[in-house]
Amino acid sequence: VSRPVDSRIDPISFEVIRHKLMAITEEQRIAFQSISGSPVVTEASDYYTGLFLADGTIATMGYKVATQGGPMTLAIKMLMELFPPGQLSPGDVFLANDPYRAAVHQNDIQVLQPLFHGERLVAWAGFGAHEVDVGGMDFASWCPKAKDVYQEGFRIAGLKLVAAGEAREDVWQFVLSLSRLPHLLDLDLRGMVAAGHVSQKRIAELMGRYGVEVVEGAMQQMIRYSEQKLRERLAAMPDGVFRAVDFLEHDGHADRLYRVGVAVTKKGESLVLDFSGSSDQAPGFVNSTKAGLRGAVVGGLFPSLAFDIPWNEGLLRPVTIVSRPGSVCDARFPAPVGAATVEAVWVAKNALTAALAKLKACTPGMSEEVQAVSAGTMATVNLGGTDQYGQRYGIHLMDPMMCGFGAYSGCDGYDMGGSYSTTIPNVANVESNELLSPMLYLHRRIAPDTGGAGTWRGGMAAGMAFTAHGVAHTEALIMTHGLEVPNSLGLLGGYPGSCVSQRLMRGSDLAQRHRCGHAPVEIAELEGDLQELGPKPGLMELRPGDVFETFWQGGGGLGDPLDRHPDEVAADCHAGHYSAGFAEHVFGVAFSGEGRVDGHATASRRQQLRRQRLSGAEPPRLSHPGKADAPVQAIGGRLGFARYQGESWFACACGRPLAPRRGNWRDGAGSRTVPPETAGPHLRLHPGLELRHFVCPGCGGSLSMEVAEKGAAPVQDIELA
Amino acid sequence: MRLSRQRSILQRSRGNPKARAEGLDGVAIEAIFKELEAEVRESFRRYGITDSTQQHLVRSASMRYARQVHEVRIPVDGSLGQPQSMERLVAAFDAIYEQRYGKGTGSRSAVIEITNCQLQLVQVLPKVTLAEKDPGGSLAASGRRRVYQESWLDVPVYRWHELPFGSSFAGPALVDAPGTTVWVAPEHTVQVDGCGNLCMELVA
Repeated sequence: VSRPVDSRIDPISFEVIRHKLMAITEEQRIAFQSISGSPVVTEASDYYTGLFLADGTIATMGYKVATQGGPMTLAIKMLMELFPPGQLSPGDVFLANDPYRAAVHQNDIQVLQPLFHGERLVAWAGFGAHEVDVGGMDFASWCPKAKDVYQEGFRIAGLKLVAAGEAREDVWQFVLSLSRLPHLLDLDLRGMVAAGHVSQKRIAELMGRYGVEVVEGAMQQMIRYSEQKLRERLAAMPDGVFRAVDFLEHDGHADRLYRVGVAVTKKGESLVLDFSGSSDQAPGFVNSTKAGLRGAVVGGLFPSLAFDIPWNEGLLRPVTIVSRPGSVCDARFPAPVGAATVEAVWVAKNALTAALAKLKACTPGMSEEVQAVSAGTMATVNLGGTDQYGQRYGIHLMDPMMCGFGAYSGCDGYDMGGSYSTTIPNVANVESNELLSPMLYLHRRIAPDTGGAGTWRGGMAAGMAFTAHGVAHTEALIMTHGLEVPNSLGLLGGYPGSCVSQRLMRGSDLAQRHRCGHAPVEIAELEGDLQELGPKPGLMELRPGDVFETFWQGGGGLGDPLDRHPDEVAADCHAGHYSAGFAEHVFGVAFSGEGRVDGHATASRRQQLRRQRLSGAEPPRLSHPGKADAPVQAIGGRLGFARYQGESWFACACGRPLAPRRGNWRDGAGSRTVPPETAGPHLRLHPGLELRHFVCPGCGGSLSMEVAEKGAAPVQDIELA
Repeated sequence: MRLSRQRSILQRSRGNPKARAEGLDGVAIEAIFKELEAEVRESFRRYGITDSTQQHLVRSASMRYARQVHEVRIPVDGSLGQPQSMERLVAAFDAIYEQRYGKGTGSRSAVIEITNCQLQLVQVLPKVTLAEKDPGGSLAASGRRRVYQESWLDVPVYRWHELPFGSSFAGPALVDAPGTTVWVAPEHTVQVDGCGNLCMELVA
């Protein structure tokens, strides 16, 4: 592989400079974490650090929330319109957070600093952190009832916080006065200022050592290198259109359903990502802006296609993003967008990873990187009020990041793998959260039966239960999507991971039981007034004894669950990941008395399940006689390309021909609508949705299980040119 | 030698920008330092050290803004029980904090926490004299050996423990020691220092 060469930089200096730039990006994180007083930063990982070229082009990205990096380029470009380079000085620091210009949502406060070598603008440092509160009508700035963006957190296009090294106290105090948690915001801003100091110092040292031209040249070369590697990867992939849809439910006002659809057109060494098939924008806070969608693309595309390529702007150069103004992923001003990160942006990222997985699956030699959808949701639990020490507090719990990762072709998904777009995610220890906030956990643990079934199963999700503790009451803001939508879709016949569950028991007898020396770990052991919560209960008051119990989405499975080795299922059951009921109903594995696999009963149970799949199924649109030869190229699960009547066809592992290579393999598959329990006890469906199962009419093997709008035409996921 | 004692405490200021040390109790901290000092002096006595003329007492307090997870250690000079001493401690915190993290990173309105008192008693011990003995005499190779470096070279071999202190020689050469062999390349010179170390330099 040839590398774009800048003749002024020898390859060793290039690697040294490249690694130094990544080290600076890590040092930014360390400086920021040292100063922050917000558990979102000190303990968990909802923040971002990075370096940019002088024009805002992404040069390096830290290992935290990649989604935040996408729009930051736009923020720097916008700042340079407000403050042309002649008006920028060394030591200037700016604040921005406007999703209608350049942020994912208002809570992601961006701090940006131009970096100089002498008098010359040579780069930018950019940081972002989720602030627990940035104003708006509700605590935590997630405002389910907001009707427009003015009722949500403050929006700032660009504000000079520090002028040539001198903090502008008037501006600083103004910004702090807009938050319900000024002290957390204050220290986070100061932490990002410290990270800026580190950046300026280190970049100046590096340029002093190697020269401005060499360092700038190396940064350009890094970007060209990533672009070239991605173009080479794309060139080796088949041309075609790859589609996926995902949904989110409840816009804060009503339990309406929104679709995010993406069509990925891959041609030569370029990609067009078209999101225009998505629903119209919502009246509530679930929308994404165009800037937020750019974040979703970075968060979905980079881990999917650039798993072994350095992350920077070069990866976006072969990519065109298309969206429809007025849609849920490109909302028109002033639609509310406060929950964009965990709603439309998250779901767009899911759909994009699902479509790209199909593209990878059709590429020879990439099977190890083919993966079902990971962590389809990010439930939101914020607490705030007065803490056990009598001080104002607020915490955005990152525990719900402990969703399961999608299964790979050949490997189970990671249990509690975390967000797909956060390379090194962190969640606070239970003890840290209890120390810092007035809460008491009853448990935080792996939730059984959450990982999507498949030949390779999805990773398990965790769950937690807690109550208010040490205070008379505290505020809680609770919301999610994916309570009635299985977002962690399976791939190539694998089943989706679980939905989110949220329950609240009011006025339980927990304190009484504690007094008797018992330590209950779950709601089932308590008595009280139990409520099943919907996806967006919003703001509520929690008192000691009110127990909130929840678990999140497991990862999607890959391949037919009936093809999973029964011993693997037994091992999962032994580890407590799956119940015996799940093993029997979903995996078709039967056990003898001692928990050992009963081979005969398993074989007959699996045959019965395959017959069941075929019995109620609609016959294929087109049926083809005879059998294909042995597959010449695996796609994944039971699907592969095989020779049939002298041509390349989609075929099932059993030899059943499904469709010509350029056709729609669904034309040759049977299909039926199945109840959600088919895929596990923790799946639920919004009234507007149905679960469709595409099966091989020859063997009853599972080819695809999909969530679709009732009555909607099936999506052709693979359309090869 | 030195012995340390520390005690975890938690004191919080009121976060008043006009009176930053308000809420911090210097008399209480001073009492803790006195207890720690008594403990560490007692330990010294148990070690049999009675010479208090060669001792230094080093005190510091760990400070941070409320909810931070990292502390900054601030030296404490003099008694904290005096008027204005906590104001001086807070001023020292401000200065050291900004020195570490940069200008504009300190907050005037944040609550300040003191989380730890550390005390160290240092005893200055007599200067160590080194026991290495100069083998003396004149520099002499013990033999010669063939070494391959691009081509075969015939080089002198020295025994390390026989090298006189202060002597010097140029490469190529080998120095044998019981645990290792040192290759002195043609572009190196060796100076044997006053402890018998080989100080090797590249010849320009």
